[in-house]
Amino acid sequence: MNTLIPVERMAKLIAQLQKRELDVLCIGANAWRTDYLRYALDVTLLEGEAMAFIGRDESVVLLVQSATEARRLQKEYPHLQTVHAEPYYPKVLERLRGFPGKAVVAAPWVALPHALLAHDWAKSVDETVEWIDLLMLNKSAAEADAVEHAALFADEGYAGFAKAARVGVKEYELTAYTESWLRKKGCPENFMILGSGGVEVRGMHPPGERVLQQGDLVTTELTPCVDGYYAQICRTLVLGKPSALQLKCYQVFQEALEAGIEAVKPGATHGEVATAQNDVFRKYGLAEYVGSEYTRVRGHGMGLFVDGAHVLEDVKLVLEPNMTLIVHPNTYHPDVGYMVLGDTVRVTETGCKVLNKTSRELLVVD
Amino acid sequence: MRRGLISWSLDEMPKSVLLQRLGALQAAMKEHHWQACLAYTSIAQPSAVNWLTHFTPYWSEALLVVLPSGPPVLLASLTKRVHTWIHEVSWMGEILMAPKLGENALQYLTTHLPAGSSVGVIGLESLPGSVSKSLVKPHAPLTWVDASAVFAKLRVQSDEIEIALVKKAERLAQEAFSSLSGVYTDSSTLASELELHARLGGAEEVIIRIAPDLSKDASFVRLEGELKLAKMYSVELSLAYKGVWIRLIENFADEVTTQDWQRLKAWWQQVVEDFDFTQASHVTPLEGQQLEFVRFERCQGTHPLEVVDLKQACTQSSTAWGVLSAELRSGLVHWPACQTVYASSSR
Repeated sequence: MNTLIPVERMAKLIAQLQKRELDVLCIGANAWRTDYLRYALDVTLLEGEAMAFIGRDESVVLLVQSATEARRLQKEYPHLQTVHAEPYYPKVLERLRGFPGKAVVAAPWVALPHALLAHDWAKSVDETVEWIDLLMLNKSAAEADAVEHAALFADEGYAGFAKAARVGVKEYELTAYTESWLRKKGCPENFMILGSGGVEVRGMHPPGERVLQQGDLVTTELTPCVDGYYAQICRTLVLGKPSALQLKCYQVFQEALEAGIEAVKPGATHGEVATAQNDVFRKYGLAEYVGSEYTRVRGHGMGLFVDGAHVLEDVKLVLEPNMTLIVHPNTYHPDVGYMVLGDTVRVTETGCKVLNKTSRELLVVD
Repeated sequence: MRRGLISWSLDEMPKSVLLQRLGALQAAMKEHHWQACLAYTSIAQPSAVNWLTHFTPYWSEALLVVLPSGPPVLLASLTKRVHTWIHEVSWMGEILMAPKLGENALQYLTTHLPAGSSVGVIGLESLPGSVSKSLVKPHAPLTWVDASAVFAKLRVQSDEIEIALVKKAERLAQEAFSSLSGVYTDSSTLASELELHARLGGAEEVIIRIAPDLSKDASFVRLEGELKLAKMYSVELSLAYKGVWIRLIENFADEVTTQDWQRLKAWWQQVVEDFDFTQASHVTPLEGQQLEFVRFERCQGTHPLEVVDLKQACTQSSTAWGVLSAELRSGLVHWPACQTVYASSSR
């Protein structure tokens, strides 16, 4: 772990507090959305809820709902003042009332519970989220390096996935082998879904009991987290010799990914990256399959959260150097079923750097 | 977020049981004059919706709307493409797309309920602001009621199906520990093997925390990168199976263990065997040793496990199971322990 990254991030937060003349920044977290807390304090919450109070004077107090989590964080982060707050909501509110006349702001909505919304800070959340999101989006070189590192894990993880994918293996067994490999490498977190089958498959999901069969297309998006940063890889493999139709259909995805990556450069928008991919599908008479009935997004930001700003045609977010995103024209193809192909990229001064090294060919597993 | 097997086995979760649970909630709604009851679900708060429908989201969030009769409706931020999958792994009525969850839910309720209706919300206090700010609006023609206490009363009455799932989860955890080949010096290898066996057994989710040196303390840490394990260490495995969560702690020593170590193991085994919900006091330390804490957790709302007062839980005749944790300090050893305990009728 680059130990300077957390220091860098905190310095940016404090600079914003000073610039905006804010006294206290409150960052909420829960077991699902812990990314803002990770940004602020380098802390990942496993259970319950937490609230960090970050002062303009760089003072930090972290109130934690779970006793076990509080003890864990006290041990893992001895430099932080971590307090087991029991009962949690009243203790947080009590602390909030300890700043009379001070400018107190909070973020994000998804980690601020209803019990705490009656306080004045609720008025500040929209604006606060906006500037924190910009900090998280516009990564430093070191942060983007961390995403690159995670991308290497994604490549290796996929190699393990592909090795384990065999006729007769159940979907959940395949996930088990992949997760086990990631734990062996010290990788604490991974978001992974998959799909298997043929033309009837419309998307990916958590693993089920389905047994992989000869001729199956097996799709996955694998998203390991290293030092808090996520990177993703999306690939399709086929069990056995691919049909001519599968190969032909897959070429559309390869061309779409190349077009999408070509569009990634400083000054371009997420919308343009999406359009570049979708135009390839349109060219081949597959316009119907770039809509929401068949696909979610054409990529998304990658960073401390797995699902950053979406790559969709109407998204006007402008790309800048060191932003990181996954470009993936994943969608349903009416002739063969659901296919995926995606690489995480890092925006450079002139274009982008593709962070995944795994071949983009349709992998054939005998 | 590391979802393992998610599937619906009619043997392990008959639809009739889900209907019974729903019926119990609808009866409570009638008693309290609620025209609807809402339950939020996300990776962080999956349990209320899972209990009612067997659904656990692998991503995003949703709101379950329970009406006075009929199957519940799911308002889901997840895309329409996953609705088929949701129906495969759970039971519910209609699934509606709700990209703006709070706003869409309010719209649904005001369209389907008479003005002035009361709506119970399970886990109202912990409902994320992203949903609450658009839903629980003071000027809406609805009255919002915190349904948590009412739901908890129903929830703690575990049916046989739930007990069976708890026991299965516990077995998976025990088997995962049994699969370990001795004592380890690095956390990654240990975690890798533990997780593999748990997931191959069908675990839906696995969280591993480790206290790396019991001669220093029993604080469990998250595994990120490599952690060197000392001569005595402890592993806490939190495991989900079909929506039910349990925890299990095993302690390890790398050499022939002392008499003290054996006594501590025997002490905890006895605590669990003797555990009786009808007694007021359950955990007493061995002579000369210090009991650092005792903790009891169970599922009674939207969170998988919540700490509850053990004495209070014992006074409730409906309490069937829970997760008991304790820590003993004996000389130079910190001895953490955690296991599922059952009411005698559920053993």
